[in-house]
Amino acid sequence: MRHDWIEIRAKGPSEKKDEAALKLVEAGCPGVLEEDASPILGKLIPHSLGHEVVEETPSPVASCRAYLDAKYSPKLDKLEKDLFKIGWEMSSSPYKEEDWSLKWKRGLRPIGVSYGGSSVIVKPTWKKVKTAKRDVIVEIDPGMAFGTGGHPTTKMCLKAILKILKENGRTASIGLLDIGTGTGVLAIAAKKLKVKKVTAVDIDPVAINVARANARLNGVKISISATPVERLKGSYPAVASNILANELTRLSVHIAARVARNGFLILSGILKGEAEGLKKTYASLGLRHLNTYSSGEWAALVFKKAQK
Amino acid sequence: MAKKITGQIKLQIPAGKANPSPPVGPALGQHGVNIMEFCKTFNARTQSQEGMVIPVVITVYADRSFSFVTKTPPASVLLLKAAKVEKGSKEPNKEKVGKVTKKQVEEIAKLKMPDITAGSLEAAVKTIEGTARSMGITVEG
Repeated sequence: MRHDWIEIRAKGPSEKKDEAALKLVEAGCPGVLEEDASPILGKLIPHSLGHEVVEETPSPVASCRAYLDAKYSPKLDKLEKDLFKIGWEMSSSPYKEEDWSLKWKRGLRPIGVSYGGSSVIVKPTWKKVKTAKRDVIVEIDPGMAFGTGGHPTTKMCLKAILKILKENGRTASIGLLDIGTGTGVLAIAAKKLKVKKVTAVDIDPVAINVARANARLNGVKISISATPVERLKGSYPAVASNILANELTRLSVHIAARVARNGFLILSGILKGEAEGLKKTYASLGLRHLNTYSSGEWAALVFKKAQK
Repeated sequence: MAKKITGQIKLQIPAGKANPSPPVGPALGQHGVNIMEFCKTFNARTQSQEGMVIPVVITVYADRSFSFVTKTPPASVLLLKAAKVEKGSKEPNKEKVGKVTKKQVEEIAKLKMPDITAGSLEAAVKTIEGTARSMGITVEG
């Protein structure tokens, strides 16, 4: 049921911010939004590993926004006095509630990647799309693991997988290893593109759970585990890793070792300026650079391991 | 994977009680974050701290996925709750506003361990005792 709220904007000394937040919650607000400007927007950080860097900008004045159910409006005077006692001031105005539990889905559209007549369409579960018979549909909802198909690094990987399977289907479709699987989007797409054995690993336990749930959702059987790449054994005709350039460099020996002779390696999550360095690193490990995809500031590299 | 940050949202929410009402709904919804998934996970992670207001920092990435870290409530807030007083003393050396037991301080220290740079529980207890003194709260026992 939609109802009316009062929006409260409050500001005061930073050192009393937590006390002010407590007073707002005690007055009946279901939470408090802190309005500090964040200096880390646009930065690249590892996702979901629980060690995000939160850089604080020390400012003597803090400001917050909170919402009080309109039925509690008689409490506003007392709240204002309580905040005033700790040096905080507030203003209030009416606020109409919107149903954000559904509205967050706005603007999330299916993503289509095609090569040589084959297409992979990655879509949220609630979207319906018209598809051709040969299209492969992967259903992924955004959540706490990365890789919903919308990011250029994922799209480039999908394109590279499509191209490799199209041109080398007989050999490449034997097996694929996805290192840093996130939501499992690449592994699921590969399985749906008829790759026989698909293995996906990620060191993030959140990603493992999400990837397993997504594999079930898409009705595919994939081996998904938290095995670190350093401990993986065996080799695969195709290996894909969409992580970050510094990790691709750090783990290069282990990643390269997993590529079978005559096999393919797709590396993504690379900023354009980092591509040359990675090409050299992997060339020294016996991988010949085949082609580079680019989109915006991102690049993805495809390599092939020599026969002997 | 590692991705570009497109938003960072700082909220303070009662433990175990996140729901799509404001401020959670509009703050996360505007960034296209899966609100119900956040609420469920936040509530699951904080359910044991009922009655506390938990600071949380949500990081939103380019493809609308997100991650979040919760912080423990400030030691001063925990001490005020434990001592059942509304505010600390303006002159902590002269005017005492309340008391807490050594056991209460230890409980607060255990809760705060992940967020304070104390090498041991003993060191954390000392830090909390220092905060209590600076607020005019006496530690008994």
